[in-house]
Amino acid sequence: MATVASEVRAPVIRRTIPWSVRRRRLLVAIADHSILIALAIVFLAPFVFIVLTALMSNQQALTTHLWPQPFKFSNVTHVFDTAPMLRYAGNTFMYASLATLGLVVSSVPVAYALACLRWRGRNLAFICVLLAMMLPPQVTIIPVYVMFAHLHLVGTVWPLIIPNWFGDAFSIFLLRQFFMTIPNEYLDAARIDGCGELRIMFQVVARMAKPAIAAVALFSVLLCWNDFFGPLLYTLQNPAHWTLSVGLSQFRNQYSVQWNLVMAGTIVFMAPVILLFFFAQKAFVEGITLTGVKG
Amino acid sequence: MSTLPVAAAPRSMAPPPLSPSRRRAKRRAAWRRRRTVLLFMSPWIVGFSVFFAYPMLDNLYLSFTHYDLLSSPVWIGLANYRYLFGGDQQVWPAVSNTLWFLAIAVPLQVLFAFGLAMMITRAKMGVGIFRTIFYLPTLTPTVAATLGFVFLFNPATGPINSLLSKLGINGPSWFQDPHWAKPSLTLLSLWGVGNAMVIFLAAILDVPKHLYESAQIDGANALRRLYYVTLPSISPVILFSIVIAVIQGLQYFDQAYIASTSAAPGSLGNAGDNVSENLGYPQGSTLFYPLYLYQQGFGFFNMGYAAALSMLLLVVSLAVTLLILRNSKRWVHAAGGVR
Amino acid sequence: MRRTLALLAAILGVLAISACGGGSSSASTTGGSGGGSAPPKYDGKPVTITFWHPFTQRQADDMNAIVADFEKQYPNIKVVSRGGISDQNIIAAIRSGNPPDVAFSQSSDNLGEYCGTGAWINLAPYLAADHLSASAFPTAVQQYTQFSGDRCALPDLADAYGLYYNKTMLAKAGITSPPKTFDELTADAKKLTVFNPDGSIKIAGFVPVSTYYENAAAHYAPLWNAHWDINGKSAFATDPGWAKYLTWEKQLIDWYGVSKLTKFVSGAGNEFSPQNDFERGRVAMNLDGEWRVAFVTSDKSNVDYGTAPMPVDPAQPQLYGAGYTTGNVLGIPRDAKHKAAAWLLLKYLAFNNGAVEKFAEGLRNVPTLTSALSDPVLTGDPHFAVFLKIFGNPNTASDPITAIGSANQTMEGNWQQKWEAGSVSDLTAGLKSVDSAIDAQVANSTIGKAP
Repeated sequence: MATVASEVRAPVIRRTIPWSVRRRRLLVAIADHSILIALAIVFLAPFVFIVLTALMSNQQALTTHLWPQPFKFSNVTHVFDTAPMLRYAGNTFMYASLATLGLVVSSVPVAYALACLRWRGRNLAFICVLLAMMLPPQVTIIPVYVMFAHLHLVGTVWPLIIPNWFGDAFSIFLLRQFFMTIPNEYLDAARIDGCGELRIMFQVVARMAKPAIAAVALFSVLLCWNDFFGPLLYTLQNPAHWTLSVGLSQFRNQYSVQWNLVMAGTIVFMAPVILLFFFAQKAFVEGITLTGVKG
Repeated sequence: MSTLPVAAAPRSMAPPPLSPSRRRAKRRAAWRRRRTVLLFMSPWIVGFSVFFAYPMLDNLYLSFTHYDLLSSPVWIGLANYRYLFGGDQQVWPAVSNTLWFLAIAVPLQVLFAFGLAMMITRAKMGVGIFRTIFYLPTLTPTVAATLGFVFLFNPATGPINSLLSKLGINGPSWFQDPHWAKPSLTLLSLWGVGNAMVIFLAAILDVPKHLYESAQIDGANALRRLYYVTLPSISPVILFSIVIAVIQGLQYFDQAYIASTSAAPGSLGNAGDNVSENLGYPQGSTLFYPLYLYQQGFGFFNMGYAAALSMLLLVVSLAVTLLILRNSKRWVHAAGGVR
Repeated sequence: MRRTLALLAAILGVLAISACGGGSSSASTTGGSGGGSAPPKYDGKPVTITFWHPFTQRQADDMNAIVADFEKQYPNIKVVSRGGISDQNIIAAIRSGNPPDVAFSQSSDNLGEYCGTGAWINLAPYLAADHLSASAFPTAVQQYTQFSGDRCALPDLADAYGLYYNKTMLAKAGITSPPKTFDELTADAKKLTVFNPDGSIKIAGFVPVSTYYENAAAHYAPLWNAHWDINGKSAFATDPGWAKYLTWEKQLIDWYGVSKLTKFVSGAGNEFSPQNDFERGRVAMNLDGEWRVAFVTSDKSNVDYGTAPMPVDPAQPQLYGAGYTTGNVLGIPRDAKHKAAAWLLLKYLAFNNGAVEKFAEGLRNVPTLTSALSDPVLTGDPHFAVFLKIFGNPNTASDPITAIGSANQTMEGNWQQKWEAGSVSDLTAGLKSVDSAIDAQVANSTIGKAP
């Protein structure tokens, strides 16, 4: 494209674009969009198949038919009769809400200290945060598990919640990166006005960093909702404390169901997250961008 | 943790002598600042020591013991490490599974995410819609996505193979075939590259327009513009994505656990058997290193040995991360850098 | 007669307990064989105990009915039951210090861990205090409920494994009686298999793959007289039974074709649902436990079927009639909060003849109280009587209780998958590698442990 146009471009741009170039551009755009549409179909297909399978009968789920005949919409409610989905959802909700609350409350001040206060050892502390963020959790799970076992908390969701109350490395990192972008003049002005650091954090920084805090909270809710390894480790031994992820992973064996009900359960599990996404899409995208670009 | 003056007041190199009362006031102020920092940092100080530093040390200790959680740890010296590097025949397949994933799935993930982002930037219409569609799978809970894929790719009842057979293709057994199980998991991971894609997208859109314009004036074609403008400008983001993907690859657990336990044909419902018996199905091809660690530690409750396994993981993770970061200096433009 | 006596004894026991509610009795029998001090006695105060069992759905209903009977007898004891529990859950709960008061496990595989470590308390003092003896159970049952002399578990029903065959399909293929040796099984399986026009399997005569339903190697071992260990060493390479079993299995798998069979197996219905392959006529013969009799009825499957002992090694026809057996084990975890009340539930489930018979009739499992083996309801069902016979056969065996729980079975199973897929070229070398891997794991797991 460029080779053809390179010599004649300068005058061409000023005049009307010739038909051949326009046609070429149109064709390229059509090709681009066709590829994108094809990719979009591939990306959406699993959702479509999951929904279709969820509406099949037991017998049909064991055949190769793609289209439910008849549509069994009752499957989605039947899931709730088969397994204590509401209890799982309750446990998941408790985990997600308490963990997120604690995470925000504890991470904001730490990020503030790392970004807005100046003190010796600050860089070292930040490196510790990075370290905790980078290293695989498997490195500490055994001693932490033993610790919670001694506290008789294994078999509950508390081992999943409690660590979040003491700062989460990823959230601290993210918030710090955002706090760093707040101009020092705002803070200094507040200090000159005689504000304490606590007040500055709440009234200046937290207010300006609302999108970042929202993103951190959103990520936390999402991570807790989707978390599998933690609940597997700590709640597998006690079905009363299963979260949706563990409950669903045990679904087929535990309740002797076919794939159709597993897929119906999957929909019940996915739906809230996808709804949340559509309501908070902006915060999501901003948050993710924050992690990457400012890194 | 001593504090330096909080306010950015300019300080002269030689402070003038202070009167005792001012000195006291200054000391008090310094103490107050130190207290403030301590107060703000306290959640992390507790969290880091209780949930990170202490467990790391304890893990090191446990790796030299036999520990089954029922009786106290018994010191056995290097026996666990000798077993790890000597007698254990199960660990090396697990290591090679994880290496496979790092060598094949991780680069594919980064490339695919980048490709998607590039495609979206070329789109004239529906950018938001495409972004949403490509991002949606990332939101899907891992358990749900994996169960969905295991069913979709089921060779007997899943829609993928029945569609393939309509095209006259005899589809493989995917999650049930040891040669296809890891590629199937790779497909699943490609489906969920939304996060990396959104990051790439933002980075590509951030590349200053004038760079492209001047490149175009120099007669660079699309490929050369990509190579000489886009890639260098977003190199820090590429590095970030690679590091994240490698870290996640080393920890890869959830999808493999669910895929192996749900793809295995034998229902375990009533047999009273260990769920961990199906880990790695088929033929141990999905028994990644973290799964093996879990099986030893929480399936067999061989916790001392699992601690030794996790020490190896720690060393490898540190080494890999440092290696990437060190080599990166050669090709990453220090645009952002570490502050 | 025996039944009424047992019932009478139970009633008397209840009377005795309720009569001396104040705890004034002189029941301080010394520990007896257990050597421990006298166990705590239930003081009659209202108490809630937790009870974990593996059952779900219909079977859970049966379990809960027995528990309800118990609660009627002991109105002050409330039992909170939780079904669908696996061994992994129990082990993890014990290790985490947060266990139920009574645990019900469906296999004795992990008894080595339960008993050897004191994770489940020794029940000998409790038995002695109540003048009960394990001799009320058949010998095999007495053995799999203890580990190296430590009685930490009581039985409640057992499983025996045999052959289920679809009569209609056998008749259509001209087979008059179920196979008695594995050679006959192979021949029959080939006759019974139906292929689709595209070459895929429509109906399989018999699926030998180890990951399919109840086909684990453990369930085949007694049929080939194969042993898991000899003198404490893993014996896959040294005991010729294993090679014979694996060779037979591989030949049948190869006849179907590995990929065809893989595809067939991945379309299996859930084992414990009406879509079970045998119940919906997708396989003509199947290795399964005695419980399938009850499932066929409750699932309203219209399969016309028969039951028989599994075929055996053609070179050892005298083994015919034997099978694999394993039993449920019940115990009280070390950190259980209400041990005295828990013991009453345990005793009721294991020793109360009425309870054992009712439960066995409900689940259609093999009763473990000698007095209940002659229950006419069970012996009168021809499908089920076969399994009572298998259970009583002298060659019937279970797998040994090991120090590494079922890790040896996991390791063997992983290797067997490779063998079945054809990625093992040298059988002997492969078996040797399994042996050395298991022995190494045992050595690593037991190092530092008191011998």
